[in-house]
Amino acid sequence: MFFSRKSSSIPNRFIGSDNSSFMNRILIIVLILIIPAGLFAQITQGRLSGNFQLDAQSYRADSTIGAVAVPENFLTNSYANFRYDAGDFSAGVRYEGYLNTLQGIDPGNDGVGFPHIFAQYRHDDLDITVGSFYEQFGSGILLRTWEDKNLGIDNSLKGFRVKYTPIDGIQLTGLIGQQRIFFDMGPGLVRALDGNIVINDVVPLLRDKATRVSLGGSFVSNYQPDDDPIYILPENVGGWASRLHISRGGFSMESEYAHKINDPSADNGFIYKPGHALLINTSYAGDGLGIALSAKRVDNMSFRSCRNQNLSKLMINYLPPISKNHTYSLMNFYPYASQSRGEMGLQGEISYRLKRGTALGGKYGTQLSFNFSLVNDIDHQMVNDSTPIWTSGTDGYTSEFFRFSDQPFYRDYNFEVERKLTKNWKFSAIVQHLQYNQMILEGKGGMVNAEIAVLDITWKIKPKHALRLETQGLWTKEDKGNWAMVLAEYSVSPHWFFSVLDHYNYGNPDDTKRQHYLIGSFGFVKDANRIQLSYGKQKEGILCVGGVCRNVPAMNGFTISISSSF
Amino acid sequence: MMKNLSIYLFILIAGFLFASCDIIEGPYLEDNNFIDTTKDEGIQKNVLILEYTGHTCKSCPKAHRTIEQLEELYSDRVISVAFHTGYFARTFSGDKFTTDFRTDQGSEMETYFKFAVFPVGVVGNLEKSKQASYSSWPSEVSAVIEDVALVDLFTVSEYNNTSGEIEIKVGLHNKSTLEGNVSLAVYLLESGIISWQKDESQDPIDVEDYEHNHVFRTSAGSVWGESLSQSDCSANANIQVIKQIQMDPAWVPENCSIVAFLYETVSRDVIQCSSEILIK
Repeated sequence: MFFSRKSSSIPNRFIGSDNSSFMNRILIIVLILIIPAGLFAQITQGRLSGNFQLDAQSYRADSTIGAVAVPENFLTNSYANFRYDAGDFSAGVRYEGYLNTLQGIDPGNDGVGFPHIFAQYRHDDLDITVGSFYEQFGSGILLRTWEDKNLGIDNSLKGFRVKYTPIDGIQLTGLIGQQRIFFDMGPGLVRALDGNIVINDVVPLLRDKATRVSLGGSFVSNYQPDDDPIYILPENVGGWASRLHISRGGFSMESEYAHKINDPSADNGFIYKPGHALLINTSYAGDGLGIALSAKRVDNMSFRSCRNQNLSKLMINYLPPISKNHTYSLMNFYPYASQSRGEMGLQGEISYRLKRGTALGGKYGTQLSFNFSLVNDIDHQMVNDSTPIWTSGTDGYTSEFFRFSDQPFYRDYNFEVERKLTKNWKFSAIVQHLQYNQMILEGKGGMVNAEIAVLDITWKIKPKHALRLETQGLWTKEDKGNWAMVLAEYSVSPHWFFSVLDHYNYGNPDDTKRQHYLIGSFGFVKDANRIQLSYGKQKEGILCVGGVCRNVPAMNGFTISISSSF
Repeated sequence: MMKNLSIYLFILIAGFLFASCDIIEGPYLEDNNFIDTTKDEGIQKNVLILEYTGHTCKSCPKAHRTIEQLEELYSDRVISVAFHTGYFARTFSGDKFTTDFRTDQGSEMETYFKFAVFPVGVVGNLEKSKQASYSSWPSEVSAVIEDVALVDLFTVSEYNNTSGEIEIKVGLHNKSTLEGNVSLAVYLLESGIISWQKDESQDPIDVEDYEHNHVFRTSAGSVWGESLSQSDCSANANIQVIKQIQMDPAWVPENCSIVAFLYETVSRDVIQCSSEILIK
């Protein structure tokens, strides 16, 4: 058995755990058969690489911050990748263990096993992968399988994938597989094709032109049986996408449009309206100036390989964010998550580097950047006079493509200055204005209006010794009120770092919740090995990566993190 | 030649995939006239849904409506219990969401199930790995509702309106041997409670006069029930088990019902369930 777990978490009508094991055995037999004899010689001269990560957390009840204890006292998430490359051949496995799953990550992961195993053969124009793999077509609005351990996401496909390059400039990809959910596979069968043409490579006359143009198209279909006694459900749900990329010098424009046929699901409340998504990214960079502008429209575009799933499970597509992914904690306190039911937004950024040695730029130069994001709901109209919007078992609603709803989801205006003052001092300062529709994005509260400021100063005390001081403030009359944050981090490169961090919710409307969240940490790094130990309180919050978010509960206890690669 | 062939092949496969799109023109609802909803209590297998919900969970009314659809479809062969528990069941000071539907038994359930999302529930099983979104409940109900019933299960309750005590006689007639370790659980539910509920399908989202049904109030003994003896599980056994529940004065007896169910404690499969209105 390649899989062992305490229990199966998903009712799997299409293929079960026993079948998963059977599939793995088949995979091994296929591997043995497809490896030509000559390849064995290469395999013996290959290279093994990999990495390991372990995160453990102890949990102590703390009613002042809403932290709860767990019966196990502490929980661990761990994984290790092993990859072997030899000539045209690669193979790998990943061990994962959730004993039991850290709070904030879906406890459906509980257990251990080898959920990811693959073999890949690349020769000339052909690239064949069997087993588990990740794939993305274009921007991902029709198909993207990916993993992020911090978010607890892994929607990899297990099956077959073939990539073929018939002539320079044309790449074709075909795949078939089932998606991973925890240590099992989802009930859907995903079939997909993608083609990409780089016009300049295909047409010899255009080969040396400064303007580069590429076109792409994708088709993805998911099969899931209809066993619902209430609705007549489509068993084969298909979608297509087309994309265009033009670049010349520092200018670039990428666009992609996707359409999906009726796909009633838990995400859209079982309406039958087709889905659409449009994404346009333009940018210019040159002579210290950078300009980027993005536009996005999403209309009923959740696409999963199981119509009954939720959160980030079994997602076939990915809706890229149209907001800046901030790194400072209070700027990220109210993060925006892509809304698959409908959203329409713009994002822009202008950055400019004031030249070094000028009056404004100073001795070392200064980086300025202004960024904004505006996201609203899309327009919704009733399909007829008697059917409310979003009524299950109907077409749901109609929507004018270019019309915004007057329902704002998110506003973010931020300005940043980054400057090196002397050889030993540098700083960055940010101010931000935020509007966050907490009811839409979290299902509670109302519109949160907040001002945020950040000052980050680094002082290089002496060679190998640096002190970083980070101060942040968040001011709002809504939700939990005002916050302050201070971080002091002392590093002795290349091995040691120590930090003390405090979040203080001094403006909470409830006096009893005006708490400090103090955490002390230290870490040791040597070569590719890293160990970090922390103790303290962590505030409840939302962690987002690429527009996908998860709730992180309040915690009080020790955290240990160990990572290594070879 | 081979390269052109591969492109033609690619186009052919793409065309084949395009053809495999099931566009539903409507009507979108199944014709369910063929479903026999005639009740023959204790002979046919009833299906138990344990639902976990909360009054500030804006998506939870979708689960409530799904249960209503199933009750309409299968008559009273679908028996649901709504545990209000966790983050979304918290109460607030002020004039909204002040009703406390939470119970210690609901918290015990939450500790076991470790819910990652609401609304969520289990259909015909108490195993935590079987928790599923409301949208899959219809499929899960239809998958088991035609199963053969192994036991005839029913309750006869007597309510003493002076003392508030309810005596529940649970009757079992085993049609065949009940394998494994079997437990019997008995719950008191209340329906028709008018109180606040968030409902994302409404505008405004906070609904003042929402009707809360099948609300779990208490259990006779442990929420996980008590084990039956091996002799109680033998074929053709006729068993009567007596349970007591104490009513809370705040509960309306006319709106209460008694739910009893048997389940195997290892597989946690629900063997049979029954529901009885407290005051007919």
